[in-house]
Amino acid sequence: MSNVRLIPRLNDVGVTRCLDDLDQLDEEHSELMDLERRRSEYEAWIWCAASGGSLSPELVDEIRVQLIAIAGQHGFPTPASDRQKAGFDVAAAKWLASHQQMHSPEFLRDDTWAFLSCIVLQEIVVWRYSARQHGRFAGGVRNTFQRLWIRGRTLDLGEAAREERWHLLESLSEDAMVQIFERASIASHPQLARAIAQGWVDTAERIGRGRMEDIMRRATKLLRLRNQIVDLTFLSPENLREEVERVFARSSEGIAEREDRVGSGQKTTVASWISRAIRRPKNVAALSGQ
Amino acid sequence: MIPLKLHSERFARTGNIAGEGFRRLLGRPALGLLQTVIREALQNSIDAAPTGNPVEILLRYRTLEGENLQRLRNLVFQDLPHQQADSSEEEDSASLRSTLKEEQVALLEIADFNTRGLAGPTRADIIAGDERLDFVNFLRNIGAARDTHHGGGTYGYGKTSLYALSRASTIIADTQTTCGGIPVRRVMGCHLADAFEAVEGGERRRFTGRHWWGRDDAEGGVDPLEGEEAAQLADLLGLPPRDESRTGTTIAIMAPHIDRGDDLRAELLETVLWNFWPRMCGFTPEERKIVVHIEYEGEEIEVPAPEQYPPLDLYAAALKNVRDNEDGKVTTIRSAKPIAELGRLSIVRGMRAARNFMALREGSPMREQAHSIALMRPVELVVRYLPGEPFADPRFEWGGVFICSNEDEIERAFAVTEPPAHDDWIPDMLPKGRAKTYVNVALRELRHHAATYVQPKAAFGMSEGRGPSVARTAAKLGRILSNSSGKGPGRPASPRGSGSRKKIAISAPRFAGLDYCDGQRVARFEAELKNDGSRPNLVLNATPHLVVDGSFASADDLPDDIKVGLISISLGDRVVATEGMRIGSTQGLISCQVTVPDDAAVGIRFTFDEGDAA
Amino acid sequence: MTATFALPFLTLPNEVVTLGPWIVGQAGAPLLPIKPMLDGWDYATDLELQSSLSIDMRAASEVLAIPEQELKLAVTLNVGTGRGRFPRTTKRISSYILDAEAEQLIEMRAIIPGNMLSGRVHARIEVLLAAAPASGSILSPNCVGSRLWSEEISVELEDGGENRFPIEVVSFTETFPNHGHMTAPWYLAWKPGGLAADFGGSIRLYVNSDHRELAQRVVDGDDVTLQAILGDVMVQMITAALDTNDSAEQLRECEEGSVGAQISAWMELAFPRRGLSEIQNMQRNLPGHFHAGIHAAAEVGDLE
Repeated sequence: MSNVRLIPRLNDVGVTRCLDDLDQLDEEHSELMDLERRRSEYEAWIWCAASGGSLSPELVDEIRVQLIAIAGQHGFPTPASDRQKAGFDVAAAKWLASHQQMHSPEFLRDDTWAFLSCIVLQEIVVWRYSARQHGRFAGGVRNTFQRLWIRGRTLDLGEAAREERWHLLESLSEDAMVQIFERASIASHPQLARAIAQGWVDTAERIGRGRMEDIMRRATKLLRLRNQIVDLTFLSPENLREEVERVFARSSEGIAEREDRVGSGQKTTVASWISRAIRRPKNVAALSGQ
Repeated sequence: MIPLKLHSERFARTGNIAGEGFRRLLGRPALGLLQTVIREALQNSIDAAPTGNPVEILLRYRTLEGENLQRLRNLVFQDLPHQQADSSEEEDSASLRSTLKEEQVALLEIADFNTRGLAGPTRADIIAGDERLDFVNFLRNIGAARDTHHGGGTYGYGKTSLYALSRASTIIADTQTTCGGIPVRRVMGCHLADAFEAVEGGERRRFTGRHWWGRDDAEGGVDPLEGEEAAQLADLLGLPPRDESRTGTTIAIMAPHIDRGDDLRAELLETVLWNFWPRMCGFTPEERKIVVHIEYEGEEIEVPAPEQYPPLDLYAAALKNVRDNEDGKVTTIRSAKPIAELGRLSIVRGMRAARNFMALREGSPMREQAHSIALMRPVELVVRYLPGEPFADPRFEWGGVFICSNEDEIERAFAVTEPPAHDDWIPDMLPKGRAKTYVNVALRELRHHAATYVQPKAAFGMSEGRGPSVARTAAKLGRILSNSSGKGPGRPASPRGSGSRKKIAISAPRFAGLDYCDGQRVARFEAELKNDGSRPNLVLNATPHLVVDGSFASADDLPDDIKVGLISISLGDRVVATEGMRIGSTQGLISCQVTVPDDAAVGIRFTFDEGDAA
Repeated sequence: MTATFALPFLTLPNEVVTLGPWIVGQAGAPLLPIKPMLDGWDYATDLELQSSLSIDMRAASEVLAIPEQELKLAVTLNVGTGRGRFPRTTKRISSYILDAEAEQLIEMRAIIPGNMLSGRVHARIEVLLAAAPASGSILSPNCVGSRLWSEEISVELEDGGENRFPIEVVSFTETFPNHGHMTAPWYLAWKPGGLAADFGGSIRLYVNSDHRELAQRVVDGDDVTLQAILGDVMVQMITAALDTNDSAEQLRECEEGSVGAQISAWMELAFPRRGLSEIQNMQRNLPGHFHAGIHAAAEVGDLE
């Protein structure tokens, strides 16, 4: 990657103004402003990095065109079902994560996403959530597109994984995504985030997706507790996987297996119980044995 | 050959400057003695070069022994001063008598060629008219002002250092020069010691401590050995060969105060380069150039060009900028009142280049990262290096050159602030006035440039169009934001009430140690309690907690074995368990014991509580 | 590492681990001692970070109660970027394994391409246990990756970070024309709903440069002026939080570094150990005490 494509940024005043206007609109049941109008209306709060890259209106246009097209495939502009929305999330995340020019630090900035959500793709946000959900317009981990971008980038298993490439992205529930990606201590380490995602997928297969919410909450807390004393990212991939498995096993203690499970999962359980057994007597000595 | 005759000077009725006083005239040079001598000698050589003549210098260190030493004893110093002249031997000095008795005597010879030599009459009492008084000034007179236009040695004190460098306070001078326009060769020995009293001609007399060896002048004194005889003696002593085409002066310093060895070779080379590089660069104009040869015990030491001898390459580049007044690379140093251009400065930076092995000597000024401005007058001899702030990044260094203006008034102002050793600018030496202001302002400006070069202050004009920088304010306000530095949630809590905030307070807890007792891990935390005793019923509570992502986490929905517990709080000899401690009027170190689960980190927070007033 | 919390195993004190000064700058140019801000950075500027670290292995083995021959340590350098309490993304730049035989001075050097940096650069040097020792005391660390010592730095590159109060001095007549607050001395841009939002990302204080004297005092960092402004900011935010319907629940949910967590911390500072309902009562019944308590807590002079 060479030259960074500079994307306009919308500062906080602009976001506030935009949200105020949206609130007004909603009450009056009137139309959203069109793109040109939004651009001029909030012009005063849109800014760009002064130097260091190339301004790229083309990239902004492309993001708009593509995401509107993806949304269109999932029902936009007619009101969408939860299933359609989830489908949009996955498809949009794939697209955002695979775009070469979006592997750029510009997209780690909240104000960049605020610009995209408030100005460029406002109608998609309103469609996907509502004009009232401010956090989906402002930049941050809950931003409509920012959260998809980081999910896609982190959970992308790479082209080498072929049809498995988006396995994690497609499998995780929204709640699991939130548990991972709204915890900066996890989200900032892609290998850790992927290991936890895999742990979720394995456990969900064992006990059923429907029962995962509490288990996931407890597992991420246990892992963060552990990460406070042991650098989990320093472990080899196998050891990290074992560690995550062990934590999921512990978090799901006492929860019955899914009855319709196929045999393969059984091994995981046994392994988890074994590692627990090893661990129990005295502080994880066995795990560090490499 | 007839040995030289000694003349020991007696006090005249009107008084002379005694040897001691002569020595003191040198002052305290900032440099090491060897450096001072080489600097002074070479400056004198440069001054003694007729305009447009490149000067050649030979620096030579050799040891006399056996036959060669015997010649020195027999031909020059057969006649020795009175026993009484041998001053009490101090640590570093020896009498000439005892030095000559040693088996080896080292000589440091400093010879210049293509210079005038020590011209003019040989006696101070002869009126010379327009003729130069080099010989007299150098070997007879003391403290006569030099008159070389913009010369390096504004005063002629330099010669004193020559004696100071000799353990025996003795030098031999050999010069090929002219007198009244006629070529002449002269050799003379000189010794400078303390004043003494001795019986001479049956009478007790006082002597100044100055002694000369030469030929009887038939008036009770001596003149230098001259002509063929002088050339012959110089040959016999092994002094650098000369003839009428090789004019100039050789000073041989007997038994110099220097340690021989590898370091000496490096020190000789370094002294020359460090002080005279401006005259030795590839781009130095021919007529200003000096060519230096260095010989150590018969071995010629290569003298690299300054451009090839880091860090002098940086200084040389800076000098070139100043000389060429290179656009954008030169800063003019100005005085505002009175308005004057004081000189020009250029600073050049670069990657810190590998040093020549000669510059790796311990204590070499060129070994470390360069970070100074070389101060010069237009004569381009380094007065001194003004150190500034080095780059914190040790891979980089910088060197600068400042040359004061060649306007007469300015140049003179700088020249007169130089002490006799010419190794500093000391404006305090001047009375109040323009000259003093010039030098003061220049030094202040230069110090500023040297101090700020690595981190230039942001130019004020830069922030145009943007708001002012409120970074400092933002940081100050940011202090009231909690915990972003990962300090944990234990922000000092304090009881309410106006004005009481600082009277009862507890510092942030710090972890003080981990132990294993009764089958469990126990952590100790400490904090400092400040207590003015104003609220004795206040209760101090300590609440341990788990730590996740660097801050507080509850043990909710975690497995039961992950829990923390407070064992005790202690202050002095008071120990309480979990119920909290009434602070009373005690203050000091609070210590807490907390159980730590096998698999988690634990923090603690302190809070105050009104307690049960009833 | 100044330890404010306890780990369940023995760790290394600063006497055993010596970290040299950090220097930072544009790659290829002279590096400067690290400061909270680095001027003149943009995406086109590659950054270079350098430091050195040495560990007295003999002392480390004593402190950790692990025989010197069995002690293996790893020194890791992680570099992260992006806003927030934790960097948005973190990468291990290098790691070195140390044992009794190894060279014990480690020169750390990282060149970070500018087109990987966003807003700030965050670096963390950590000493970890690299191999489980065969013996040791019950308190000796024995898991690979056990955190034994660490040090972090953060350098702002593009805009203020979360350890600074987001603030801007601007002309209100130009920035907020036709607004009621056009002539106000300051204006806090924030949205009361977003208690969970990152503080640094959602709060911004605008000071009106049209009020020259005030703006100058703010720029100069005048204590009294800052206390007055900050007091107002705190009152606004605490009040808004108290007025939220389910404030207790919302505040409890808030992560460290969020607006809500900050508001809770301010309430604790102003009204130590008061419950939320107590504070709400005070707000209703003793508004003077309520306001003055907060203003008193807004003191920005040197804290003890």
